[in-house]
Amino acid sequence: MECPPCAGTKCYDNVQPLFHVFVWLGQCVPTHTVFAFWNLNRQPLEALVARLARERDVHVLMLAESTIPPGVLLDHLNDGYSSLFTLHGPSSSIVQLYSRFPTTSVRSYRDGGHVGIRRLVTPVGQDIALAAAHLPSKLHRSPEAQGLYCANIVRAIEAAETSYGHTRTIFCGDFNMNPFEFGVVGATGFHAVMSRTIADRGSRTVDKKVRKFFYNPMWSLFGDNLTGPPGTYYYGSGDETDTYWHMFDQVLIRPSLLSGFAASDLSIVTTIGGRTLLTRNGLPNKRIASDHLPITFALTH
Amino acid sequence: MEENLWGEIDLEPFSTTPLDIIRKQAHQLGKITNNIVLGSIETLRSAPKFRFAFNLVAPALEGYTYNLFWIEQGLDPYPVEITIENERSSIYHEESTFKVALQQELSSPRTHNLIRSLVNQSKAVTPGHDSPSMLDAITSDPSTAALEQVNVSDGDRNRIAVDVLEAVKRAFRVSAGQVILRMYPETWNRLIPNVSGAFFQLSSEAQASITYRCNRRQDPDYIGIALFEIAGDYDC
Repeated sequence: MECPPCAGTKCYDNVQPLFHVFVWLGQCVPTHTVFAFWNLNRQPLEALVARLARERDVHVLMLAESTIPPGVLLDHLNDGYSSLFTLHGPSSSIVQLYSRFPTTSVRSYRDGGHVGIRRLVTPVGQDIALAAAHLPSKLHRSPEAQGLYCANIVRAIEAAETSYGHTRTIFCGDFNMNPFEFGVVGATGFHAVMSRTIADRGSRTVDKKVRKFFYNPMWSLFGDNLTGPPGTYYYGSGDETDTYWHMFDQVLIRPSLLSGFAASDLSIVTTIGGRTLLTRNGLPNKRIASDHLPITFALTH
Repeated sequence: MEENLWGEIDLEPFSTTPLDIIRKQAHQLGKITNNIVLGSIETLRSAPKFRFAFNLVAPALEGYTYNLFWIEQGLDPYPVEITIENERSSIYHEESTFKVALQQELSSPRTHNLIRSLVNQSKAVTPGHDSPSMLDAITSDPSTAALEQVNVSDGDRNRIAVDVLEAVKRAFRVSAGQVILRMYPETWNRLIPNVSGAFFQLSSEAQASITYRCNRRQDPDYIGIALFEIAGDYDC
């Protein structure tokens, strides 16, 4: 059948049965999936979230600290939109997940331990595991407790990977840790490295245990030498060591998905609908939005 | 005879450690739900500070696991701390108070609703419906889901429309969310001529607050899916 010309989509005549729906409805099948993650800081930001989803053509939307009733958010997300968002998994999940994929395309695997894990069966390409976490603030937890959370989350992710029979995993969220901290980069933590080349090795053996790598592209967004802000969250602790800006909101990608990931598709969002999310000093403006900035990234199938 | 400075050590296990207690309750859950939803204890951390998670597991839903709470104790069984993620944690110094708190959590509406939802959704994906024209309405949120089955084998399309609406209302016990209606082939085949038209204009009162879309897919058990997304307050 003929598909109307639209960017980033293809028409498939022989898609898997599950996705006949796309052909039957005469819609285009997206060849890339756009993800967005945002910690809303318990603010009623439904209009901004909907605008972000529309503006960036988001397929999968993940929200932490969202107190917006799902119905209210869906109302905004789906207002005048032909491809409807649905909520997947419990609304009580640590990170709420909305997507424009059919309900059957997102299957819940686990909720709890500060992480929700889903299996995302995209319309084309192979299925992926999608883990989204929101770890407690370091203000309320010891470094030891933080490390324990990380180890348990990794164990849950690896259990999901074993269950799914692959390691095509995306892991994102508000980790309340920077990419250079032990829980994120340590072998017993998320084991997320800054270099694709190193991540492509797949794993390394530490203390006789094989530890799989994640690639952490957020390293590329640190500092001033880019057009975006130096991080996703600003907090001056006044401690002896104070980085002020923090990259708490991150996406980690397993090496097996890296061929479909372009660094240029990763961004820290600072404007939505022409409206800045920053103060005049360039800090996240929590009076009009959240104290965290959203991140978006894409995966090509 | 060798000198014994140890005294007599009682090596009998503690009669009821917190772990024993939650293990028994995990076992109970399987009995209560005919093993549709299982209780499972997961060791998150071992000595010197133990942490055990109490999980609900739904084998029919690809083993979906929901962490209800976790307990934490030292080498001694008490004090023990119960933590509900992102909500609260409390410390108990003896078995009796621990059991009271555990009972409160296990018998809470939140927990019961979760179990009910998981049971209903598990049933929905398990073959064995007795009517080929049965229609299921489930919400996709396991924490609030309910399953309603409506026999739509009789009646014209208007009658069926009313049945569908009633199923949606009963399944939908929260103020907003989604309801999936799943139809068996016979039902779908009867409805298909109307699907692209006004069939799902369920009623004037519902129309304003229910958006819907109907998708057809190939499935050995279900041939049609109608997804209702209820956005905004809907008083059922």
